[in-house]
Formats: sequence, C-alpha cells, structure tokens
Amino acid sequence: MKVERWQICYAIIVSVGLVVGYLTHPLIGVGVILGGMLLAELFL
Amino acid sequence: MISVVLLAALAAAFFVGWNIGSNDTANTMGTAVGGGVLRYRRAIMLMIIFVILGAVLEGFHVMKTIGKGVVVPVENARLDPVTGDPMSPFQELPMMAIVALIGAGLYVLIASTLGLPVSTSQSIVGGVIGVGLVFMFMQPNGVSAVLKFGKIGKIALCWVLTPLVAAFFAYVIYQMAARPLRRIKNVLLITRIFSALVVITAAYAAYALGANDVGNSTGVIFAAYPRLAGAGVEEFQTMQFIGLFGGVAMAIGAITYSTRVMRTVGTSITTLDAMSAFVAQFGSALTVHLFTQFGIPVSTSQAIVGGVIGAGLVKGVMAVNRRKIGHIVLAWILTPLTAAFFAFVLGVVAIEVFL
Repeated sequence: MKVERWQICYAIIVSVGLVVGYLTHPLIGVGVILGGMLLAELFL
Repeated sequence: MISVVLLAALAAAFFVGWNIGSNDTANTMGTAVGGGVLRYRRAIMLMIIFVILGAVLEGFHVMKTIGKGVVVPVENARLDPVTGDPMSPFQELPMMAIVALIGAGLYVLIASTLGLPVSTSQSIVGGVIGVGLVFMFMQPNGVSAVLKFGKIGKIALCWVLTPLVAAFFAYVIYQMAARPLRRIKNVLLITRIFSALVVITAAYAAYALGANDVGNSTGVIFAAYPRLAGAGVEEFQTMQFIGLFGGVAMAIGAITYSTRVMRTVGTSITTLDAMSAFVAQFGSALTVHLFTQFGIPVSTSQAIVGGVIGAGLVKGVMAVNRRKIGHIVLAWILTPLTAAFFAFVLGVVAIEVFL
C-alpha cells in the first residue's frame, strides 16, 4: 500500500496535538490540530 | 510515572479507536466522496477535525456510561483517596479494563474476518458485561462489583430504538426539505445547495461519531485512571484528554485504513438519489447525537440503515432489504452476548495467569 505525503502530514499533526494536549490542556491540543490542518490545507 | 499496565490499556484503547475510525469513516463521508462533492483527502481532513471536536467536547457522556454505568462498585468498596467516592472495580484492577477492550476487539476482529458487520458499541458493552461477571463471580484480588441491569436494559432498548428514531427523523426531514427545494428551478443553484448540505451533514455525522463512539474505546480507561498525571488532576480534564486520545486514534484509523471500507460500505448509501442520501445521513447523525446526550452508546451503522429506511418510506419503497434488517436484529442479541463470553473467558484466563 502506497503511503501518500498528506497521510504522513495529517498523522504528525494529530500526534503533535495529542502530546500538546497532554502537556498543557486538551483544548489547546485541539487548537494545535485545527491550526495544523489549516496550514496543511494551505501548503499541501 | 507511566506504568506498563497503563501503556497496555492505552494500546488496547488505541486499537479499538483505530478500528472505529477505519470502519466508520465511510458512514460519515461516504456520501460526500461517493457523490464527488469532496475529494478523499479533504473528506479525511473534515473527518479528523469533527471527530476530534466531538470526542473532546461531548465524549464524556458515553465514557461515563461505559466506564462507570454498567459495572459499579459494591457497597463496601474501597474509597478513592482523593475524592472519597467508592472506587470503580476497574480502578482497583486496571488489568480488567484491558480484558474488556481485548474481549470486544477480538470479537469484532473475528466477525469482520468472517464478513459479518458488527457494532463496536454493542461489542464493548458486551465486553464490559463479561468483565463485570468476572468481578461478580470470581472477585479477583478481593475486588467485587455489581452489574446494573437497569442500565443495561436501557441501553438495549435504545439499540432497538436507534434505527426507528433515525427512520423517523429522515422521514420528517425529507418531508420538510422537499417542498422548498422543489420550488428552486435553477439546476446550478440546487446542485450547489445539495453540495453544501452534504458537506455540512458529513461534518455533523463525524462530530456525532466522535461524541458517541469515543467512549467505546476509552470508557474503561477513564474508569481505571480517573486522573492521569500530566493530563490534569481534575476528572473532567482527564475525560477531555482521554477523549482527545480516542479521537486521535479514530483519526489515525481514518488516515491509514479507510479507503477500502469507504469504497465498499460507502456505495450502499451513494446508490441513493442525492436527497435521500442527505436525509438518511442527517437523520442518522441526529439520532446518534441525541442518544449521546443520554450517554447511550449506539451503532452508527444501524442508525444509517434506519435513515435509509425513513428516506425510502417517503416514496413508499423499502430501500433496505429484509436480510439487512435481519442482520441488525440478530446483532442486537448475538454481539453483546458473544463479546461478553469472550471477555469473561479472557478475564478468567488473565486472573489465572497474572494474579
């Protein structure tokens, strides 16, 4: 199965959001995921 | 310090969440992708955002039911040193949370391999009941528990109601929306309206999926670890973090493994005309969201079938074959019973091996 660039990118964004959510506050983690998705939409 | 048991519990919850994400993405995004309104990548992005929002903002309703509503502590249970409340049996013996997840996950895996569509919600309720029976009859490490049959009865009743309510909603929405939409004569405008409606409904369905199904994979984790170090000392914040964890697991499932299921499962709804597909999906999402408010884990797939029936009833046709309805009725009984049996056997084995 071929893994595409956007799949890796999305997986990294949600993982970073999870770690940030654990270290700070879950809602900040959600914010990171939303922001990351927005950036991915702009640059991918 | 994160213990090995916690890591194993999180891994089991992640696996169940991953399964839900890979299988149920088609239920939420199938119409949008199949109808050519959204590209696959955009659909996954929408799915991720709304599933995680649903899981974090409203996942706690079902999380509480699965973790603390079905198997409850006995009267003389040990008290939580922080809150002073009786400790959940899962909190006293976190290993059993893993057993409940593996019992349910194993059943889903075997059923899927045999080509039988089963509900994760119904499997996990069965898994929790199985572990509850282990606590009742074997009292591992002196920990006992009580099964709340009243709550189990309510959940079972809601499973029967799910397709019926979804059919009702779909029927009503169809009747309400059809008249004003029929007045629009501009074909381009009507196409645009439908495209927007399909995307909004898909996002709402993803939100409802996150809110309802995250509790399936994480409810027992919350019961075993009501306060996670680092994720906050307050129970609600822990629930939100566990919701985020479950939502991310579902998102990874959608990213990595939803393509094939989207192609196969998604076609069953995309063969409908645009209006029927929209009301079927909206009606089912509304139903799942409604039951989430009462903390009831329901099957999104069965809600979709109900929605399709409701949309078909407007035209006086049965859009779903009797075999599919038969499968649902059988699943109401067979899924929780078999998952409970699996979890019970696994629980007995785990006690013999690890305690």
